[in-house]
Parts: sequence; structure tokens; C-alpha cells
Amino acid sequence: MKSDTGIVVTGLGVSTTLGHDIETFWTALREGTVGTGDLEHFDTSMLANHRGGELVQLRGQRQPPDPRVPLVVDLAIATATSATHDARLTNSGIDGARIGVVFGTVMGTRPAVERWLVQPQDENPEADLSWMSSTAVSRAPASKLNFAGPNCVISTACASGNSAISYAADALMSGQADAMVAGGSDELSYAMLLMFESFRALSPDVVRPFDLNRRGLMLAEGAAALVLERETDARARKAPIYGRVVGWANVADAHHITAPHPQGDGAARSIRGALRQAGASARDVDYICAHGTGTPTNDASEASAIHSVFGSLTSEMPVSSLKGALGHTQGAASTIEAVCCLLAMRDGVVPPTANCETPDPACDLDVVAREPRPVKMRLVVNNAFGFGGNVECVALGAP
Amino acid sequence: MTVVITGLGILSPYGIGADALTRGVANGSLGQMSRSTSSFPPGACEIGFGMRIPESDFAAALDGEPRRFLNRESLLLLAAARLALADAHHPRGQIEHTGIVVSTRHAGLQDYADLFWTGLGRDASRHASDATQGANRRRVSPARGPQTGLNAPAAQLSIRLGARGPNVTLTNGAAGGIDALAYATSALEAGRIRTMLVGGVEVIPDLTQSRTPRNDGRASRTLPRPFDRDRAGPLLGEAGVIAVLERAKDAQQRGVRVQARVRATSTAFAPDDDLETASRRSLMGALEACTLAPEDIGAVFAAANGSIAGDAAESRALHTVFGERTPVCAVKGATADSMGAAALIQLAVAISSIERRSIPATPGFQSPGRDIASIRILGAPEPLAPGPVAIHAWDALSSSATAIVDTGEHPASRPRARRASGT
Repeated sequence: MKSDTGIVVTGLGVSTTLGHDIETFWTALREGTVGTGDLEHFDTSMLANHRGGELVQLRGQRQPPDPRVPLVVDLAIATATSATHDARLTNSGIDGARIGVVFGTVMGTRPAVERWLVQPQDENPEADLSWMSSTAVSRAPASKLNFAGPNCVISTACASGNSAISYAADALMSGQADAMVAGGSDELSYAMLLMFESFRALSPDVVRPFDLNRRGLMLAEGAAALVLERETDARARKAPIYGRVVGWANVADAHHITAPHPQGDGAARSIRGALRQAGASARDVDYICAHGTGTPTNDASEASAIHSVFGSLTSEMPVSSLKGALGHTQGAASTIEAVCCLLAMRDGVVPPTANCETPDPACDLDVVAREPRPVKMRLVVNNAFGFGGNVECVALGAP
Repeated sequence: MTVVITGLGILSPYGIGADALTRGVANGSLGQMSRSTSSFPPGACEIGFGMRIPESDFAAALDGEPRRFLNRESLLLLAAARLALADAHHPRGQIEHTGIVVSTRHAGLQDYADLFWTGLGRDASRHASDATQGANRRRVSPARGPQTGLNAPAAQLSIRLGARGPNVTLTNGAAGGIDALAYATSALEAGRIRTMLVGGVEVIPDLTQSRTPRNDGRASRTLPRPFDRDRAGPLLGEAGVIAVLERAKDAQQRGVRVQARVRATSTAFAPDDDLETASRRSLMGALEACTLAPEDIGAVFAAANGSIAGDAAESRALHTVFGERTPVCAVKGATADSMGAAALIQLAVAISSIERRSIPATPGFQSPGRDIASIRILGAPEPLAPGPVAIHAWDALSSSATAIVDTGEHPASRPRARRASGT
């Protein structure tokens, strides 16, 4: 790499169906564990699909649900707190006024509105409609942690997590903050299940990214957060360094509100933009953590984009998707995947794509499937795409 | 690097364009005030008043453009973008190299609730029969789903215009418009894109009217009366705003009129719910970022919306930073609070004021409340000397943002736009 943003990652936090701490999550991911299953806390009797990536145990612990705090906010608080502790940010000497929080989300607190619609205020006077504003997704963790720096909720649909990471990196590079918590958080909701069912985009059993027999995605919930700092600051305080945020590019497909560009135009431009910022070439990339939703159109479009950027290198480029294991955690997906990328570089292991049994020859990718693969990695690319043609790919480098 | 504003497109309850908005603020009269027709169950919505944009204005601004599959927010934003691009004489060939950043608080919320309600097969009395439930699930339109997301208006705009640059939606409440301005400025300075459309859009979802934060549960059914002793809470309003931003050298090369120059932006958050502190920090942060003193600022376009606690907190912060000298105008007395679009409405009025060299009075303001700190709230229009002005925004969840803009004609002007996190 010829250029350096000077931004490093010093702390990680996750909350997923595979675990609520990074080592449990990472172990399960490497073992190919599948965290999706039957939905237990949603009445799916009216739906054709009954499965998803639900935080069953966590939701169970919330019973009866606390009417005041939506799950998406709780997840943001929990992962931001974990990442902060992991980065040893508390008592680090950094002024809380110089620490910011940015979270990406697709639906924010919108799922909580469902409860109020079913049981409106005249029947439920305790309902606090101030949660209706999704600003709470970043405000609540900042309040809990007493961080008064830049505070933002960003939405680029299912690319929101990566957009939060780039927003945080920009804030550090411009000197607005000395540390940033960048996260993604989303929860399952009945409306989203209805919506994806109307698209006929849901897989009835499991998610099979890049598989010949893939049948669709599966909605899921979860969150992740990363602590970003300038490298000079992090090294001065001897913080742990997981890796570097070396490049990113936010672009629009400008093609269709639900369908990706068939040739992956936006995705290819975004990957190229991220590599350009990193001062790297396609040859420098050691692993692609794919968006890989498991829908026929997404995976084909993404494969086209990868071929477009990597050309003949594609055949030897390890690619995997986490969505076979987790389902699609929406705005959280790319932050969870960023955590995976950093841990993959740390341990030199690419996790397998769960449920990918027969890689689709039409995609023609080197999909890491069935078993984890040892790979020495210096530079990885984390892809993220969303409805509306939102695309943001991030390049991450080894420490 | 200097970033400038070369075009504005506005749809407000006063009609289409900046002139209509400016007239409405100057007259201090209410725009389109209407009672909502709620599709939600009785009891979910207590108050149905707000300042809305009439459908006829949508149609006029869109000039026959297809409206199918676009929700109200997307239509508003598209209409504002068409106006702004025309105002900036933006060349069609450059639209591909254009990015979009939009501030909204509630975009898609109404669609989300409607989709949920339809899927449940409920009627207005919240009753559903088993027989209708399955059928209604199948009635959920796949065209409607994508409108439920916060990002839908910005995404739809990129598709309709063919704008393939950065596309981002910020949900930072009423401070979001200035955060969007900062995002666009940063993208332009970094050379990531040639033109940025900075948008703000808000319609009034029925749900939002049942409780508005920081007004002690009250919302106004009349003029909001910012800073006034008789203020009785904010009133919600609708708006769609787009500002066209580009580098000064590009604007100069194109030979277009520069409407304003972005001198600085600053953002701050108060984790302890102390809005006064957040406001003071963002105001000071913006001044420091462009090395201006408070006395260099010709006017402050404040965010006061008639709320009890919010207006008082803002007045204390303004008093701390500016004392009693700097004229203050709170436009929400006329425009109501268009939340995610509000700061850009304030910006539009500020730019108009710079151009007309006149600061409007604060609509609805007669005499300050006893809890309002001593600041110079304008009860009548005043001349505005050339030089920078500040736009201050705050959100009920204790975030604040400030922008400083000018025309570049003032001796205190410095070339570079800077961003700061208030300290």
C-alpha cells in the first residue's frame, strides 16, 4: 500500500446469533456454525416463511419486553460498551468530549413502532414515542458511555455498517474526534418479514451464499461496533491494534430501488475506489468478505463486480460470506463482517461460507466453503450493498 | 479549499421556491395548516395539526414527472432537486458525478406503519378476522416496501437523476441538515466528487404528532412563537430542500452565481441531556474552525421552535456566546419545525437574508419568556451588514450543529471550510 489514512481499529464488540463476545462469535464462525432457525418470538402463522436469525435467548431475557428501550438500541449500547472496553478506552485519558459515536441502521427504532400501533397510547400510556426517532441508536450508547463527540445515525440501507466506519474514519482524519465508536445495529421486525416476503426473496430453510441452489436471504438481527483511532494516538497509549481502515468508497448504483446493477457497476466502482484510497492494486488483496446475501441476483451481480475488478486474479481470490451463518443482519451486517475481517487477518484464517455446498459455476468464484482456510492476509475488502443502490466497500489492512 | 452553494430548491408550506419561503417568513403568517387524516387507530394520534405542503405544489414542481412508486418524501426531495439543479445551472452531463446526502428524521415511517397495518389485515378499529389476515399478507405491495427505509428518498433521487456519487442519509434529528452540509463539504474537499446535493426532507407522519419531545407533552395548534413568553410548544411542518454544493473553483469555471460560501460547520452532543452545553459547544466550535469572533457574525438563524425547555436552553447558549449584541431570528415561528429539513430551511432563509441585506423578524415573537436568557431576538426586520452569519440547529435529543456561511465579500472572510466537533 502506498498511502495510509493512519486510522486503526483498537476495539471490537459483537452481538449475534453466534455469540455476544468476539471470541465466541469467531470460534462459531470458523466452525461453520449456523445461527439461523425457526423464529420464536414472532407469530409467523400468517407468513409463508418462519425462519430467521433471531436473538432468541436475548429476546427471551427481555420478556416481558421493556417498553422503554427498543432492542436495536440495547444492541447498540451493548456492542459499543464491549468495543470500548476492548479498546481500553475507559480511563485512557482521552477526553469524552473528543470521542464520538456513529451507528448505521436500516430501520432504526422503527420496529418498536409496531408495538405502539398494536397497543396505542390510550391503552398503553407508558409507551414512550420519543423512541420513534432513530437518532436514539447512536445517542443512547453515547449517553451511557458519556461520549460527547460527533454523534450520528447513518443509513445507506444494508451498507450502513460500512458507512458508519467510513464516517468515523473521516471524523478522525479531519480532527473532529480523537476516537470514534463505529457500529451497526438492527433488529427483526414483522414489517420487514412482510416486506421481504412480498419480494419473494426469503429462503425457506437456510441461506446458501454463492451456492448453485441458493434460494434467497434470511432476515436477522444483531450488532457490532469498532473503536477507531488515529494510529499515532493508539500507539502512544499502547492500545491493542486489530488492523487499519485503509480505504472506502461510497457510491450509488443509481439503477433500481431493489435490484442490484446486473453487472455490479456500483460494487466494482466502490471496490476500485477503496483500493485507490488505500494506494493498493487488486493484486494486493488477500480476501474478500462478500456481501453474499444468498439471493440469485445479489450473488450473481457481486460475482460480476469481483470479476470486473480482479480479472484473472479472481480464480485465486478467497471469497466468503457470513450470511449463511448469520442471515442478513441488515445495517449491522457490514460491521459484523468488518469484525470478521480483522479477526481473520489476526489469525490468518478465512471462515467458511456456511451452507455453500455446491458453488455456483456461473459465479465462478473461489468460495471458501465447508472448512476454514488458512490464508496469510495483509489486505482484505469488505463488501456491502443495500436497497436503493447504496454501495460502500471498505478496505482493511493488517496492523 | 472553498466550498460554495450555487443552487437552492425549496418546497415549503408557503409554496415553491426560496422567494415564497422568504415572503412567508417576512409576513409571519401560517402556511398551509391542516388536520391530518389518520390511517392509524384512534388513540395512537392525539393531535392532527401541522403545516403541510399541498399536493398541487408537488404536481407543479414535478411538472408531469412520473410519480409512481415514490412516497411523499421522495417526491418532495425530487421536486426540490429539480429546482435546485435548475437554479445552479447544473450541466446535465455532470449529474453522473454528483453525490447526495440527505437529512431526515422520519422518512418512510408512515410507509412502514402502513405496510405493517396492511399486513396485519387490520382496520381502523384494530380488529382483524382470521379470514382476512392471510389475504392481507398477500396484499402487501412489493413496490411499497422499499419506501419504508430511512434511505429511500436519497436512493430514489439517485435513481431518478442518475447521480452515481456518494449517497448517504443522516438521521440526526433537527441538527441533521448541518451535519449533511458538513458531510458534503468533506466529500468535495477530499475530491471524491464534483457536486454534492445536500437535502433535507420531512413530511408529517400521523404517529409523530402524538408526542413531540422536549415540549412537556404539548404541541401547538397555532403559531409556534419561538422564545416568546406565551409559547406553547412546537408545530410540525413539512419541507423539502436541496442545496447544490461544489468547489468554488468549479463554480467559477462554470460562471455561475455563488449564493453562499460554507465557512465552517461544527457538531456537538451532550450525553447528559444538556442541550445548552451542546449548543454552546457547537457554536464555539464553528467560530473557532473559521477563526472568527462572535462579533464578526452578523446574525444568528436560531432553531427555537416554541418548545419550553429547548428555546430556553438555546437562548442561554446564545447569550453565553454572543451576549446581547447579535441579532437572532428564529424562522420556525413561520415555517414550523420540519425536523430533518429544518436546518436547511434556516440556511435558505439565511442566504436570502444575506442577499437582501435584511434580517427578518422572528415570526410569532412578541416578548421573551421569563426563562429566556437575554439575547437580541428581532421583533422587526433589521438591515444585515455584509459578512458571515450563523445557522444554529439543535435536536431534542441534545445534539447541536452550527454552520457559518457568507458570500466571501467580507474582510473577515477566510477561504477554507472547516469542520469541528465543539469542545
